[in-house]
Amino acid sequence: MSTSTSTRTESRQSKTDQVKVQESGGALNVFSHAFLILWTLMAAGPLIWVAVTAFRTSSDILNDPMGLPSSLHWANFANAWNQAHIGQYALNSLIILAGSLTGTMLLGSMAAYVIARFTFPGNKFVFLLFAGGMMFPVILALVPLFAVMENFQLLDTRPGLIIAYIAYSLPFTTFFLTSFFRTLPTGVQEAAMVDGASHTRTFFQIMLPMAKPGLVSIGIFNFLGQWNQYLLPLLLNNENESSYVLPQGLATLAIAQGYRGDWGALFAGLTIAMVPVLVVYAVFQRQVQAGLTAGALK
Amino acid sequence: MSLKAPPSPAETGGGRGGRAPRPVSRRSGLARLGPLPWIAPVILLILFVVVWPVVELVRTSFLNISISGKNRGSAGTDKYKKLFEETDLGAVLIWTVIWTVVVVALTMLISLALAQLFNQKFPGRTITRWALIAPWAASVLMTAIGFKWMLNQTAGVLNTLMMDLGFIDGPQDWLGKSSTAWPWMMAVAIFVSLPFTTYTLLAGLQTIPGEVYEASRIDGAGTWQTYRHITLPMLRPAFLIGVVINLINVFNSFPIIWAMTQGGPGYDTSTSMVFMYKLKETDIGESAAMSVVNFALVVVLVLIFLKVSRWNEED
Repeated sequence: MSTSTSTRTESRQSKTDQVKVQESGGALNVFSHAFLILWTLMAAGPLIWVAVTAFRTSSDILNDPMGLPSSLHWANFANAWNQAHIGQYALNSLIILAGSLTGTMLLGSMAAYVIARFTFPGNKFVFLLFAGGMMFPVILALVPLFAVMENFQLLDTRPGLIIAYIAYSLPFTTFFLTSFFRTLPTGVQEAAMVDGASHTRTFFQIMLPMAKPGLVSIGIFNFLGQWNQYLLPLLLNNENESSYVLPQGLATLAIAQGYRGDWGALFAGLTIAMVPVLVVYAVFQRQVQAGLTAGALK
Repeated sequence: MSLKAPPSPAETGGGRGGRAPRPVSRRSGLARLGPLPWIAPVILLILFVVVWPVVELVRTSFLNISISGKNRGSAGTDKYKKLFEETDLGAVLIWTVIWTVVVVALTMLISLALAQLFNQKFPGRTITRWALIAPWAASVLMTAIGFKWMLNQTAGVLNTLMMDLGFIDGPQDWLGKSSTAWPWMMAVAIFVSLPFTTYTLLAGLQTIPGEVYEASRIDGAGTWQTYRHITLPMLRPAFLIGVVINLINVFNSFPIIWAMTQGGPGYDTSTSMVFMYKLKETDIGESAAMSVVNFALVVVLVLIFLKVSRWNEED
């Protein structure tokens, strides 16, 4: 709190500068708006281009990559969905995610609740285990992970992929939620337990609803990560083409375009892959920010 | 499932664990047994899927394993010796550090600016916030492939555009030489790191109560002064989280470099992560040794950063 006092003394000295600073604020606004417009174009431009191009025929795309569609060419989506099996892959992704996201959130929040709220022998060790797990990337463990999954007969199975997704999402999830649970008031929990609620009940009926903002934002973070996960399925789920998840399907499609030349279908596939992400974001937009605020920062 | 405390008969409410009549005994019982069933599945999962591979990795780095995967016995520290004798290793490590520091630093700087802007009310804020999440919505791999197409020597949009504008005379092979490939890959890495970082910082900005700004305004502090002495110190926790997570992600970043240049030509655009992956093709033990070194490096980087930032706080 020494900062605030020093701020006050310094700011008194500079009272005379105030007018000048405010004048430069106008110029700053013009600059910042230009910056934002530039950013918007840079970030959203390519995605909009992909989405628009998905409605053009492949020959049109080759002739003039930057053009607008002359008519809505829905055939690309039909091609991507049926011939390139994007529909099947999207369904696979959804099934995997339904399992992995539920598992990640449930196990992660349970562990975080215990680590945050109870002292027990090894508490610190468990926390360090998660922190260490966060720094360890999948790519380092490709060969041993493959062996583990093979030993447990989980290779090329949905449960195997789900377990791997959960395990690699848990460290960050638990880490994040632990700091979140620490911020929640202890009074309600104690009152519930004094009233005779079991731990299970306290957790599901009292703690989880209170932690909703944090759960939503880490949930979205995991959704994005798992939806776009490419390395794990490439390693653990590469046997049958029919069980590919979406990123694998898109990568295959991208390679196939090299000689088939059906660019339209590729762009349609990419567009299909982005839709769920945008839907999730649209639904939870408010909570994402509220959750990050409350969770990560205290 | 173990009971959390000595069971006490006939109390209200469902649930599997019995409850002691007095809070004190309940708590001590819980402290001993309670947490186990709650965190056991998580710990088991992490032990098997994350920790076990780490152990296996360390073990492999001391083994002599043929390309076909056959174990030819212990190699002692030979693999580490071989690794440190690689002529390319020095350059790769230097580039890894530059890559990590530049990308994280620029990401944090740009995110600070973006978060500050997004925290204001202005027309079109919703649209720009949507644009903020855009790079996040497309996967990192897809983004990297997209940039690779744009930078392609013969078919890339960038060459056409820059030739039309007269910046360059002939088509450039942007990713073909390390002097232009590095900046482009860094740009992509920053681009994909911005959404999460900006969101974290934006969330941090929103925790700063309005009264603080009010007070500083009444005291006559200027914009820059307010920012330096109020916003930045209060943003510290969010900033630290952003830096740590970016440090880990950027250092471990693989898809961007692999998709754009595969670390080539030679090892010119390899970070230690890509170097490790390439070694796998020639010597599994040496690749494992590199992995161990990599993991150690991340831990050290993060610890150094945490140490430095805490030291600042005490100052």
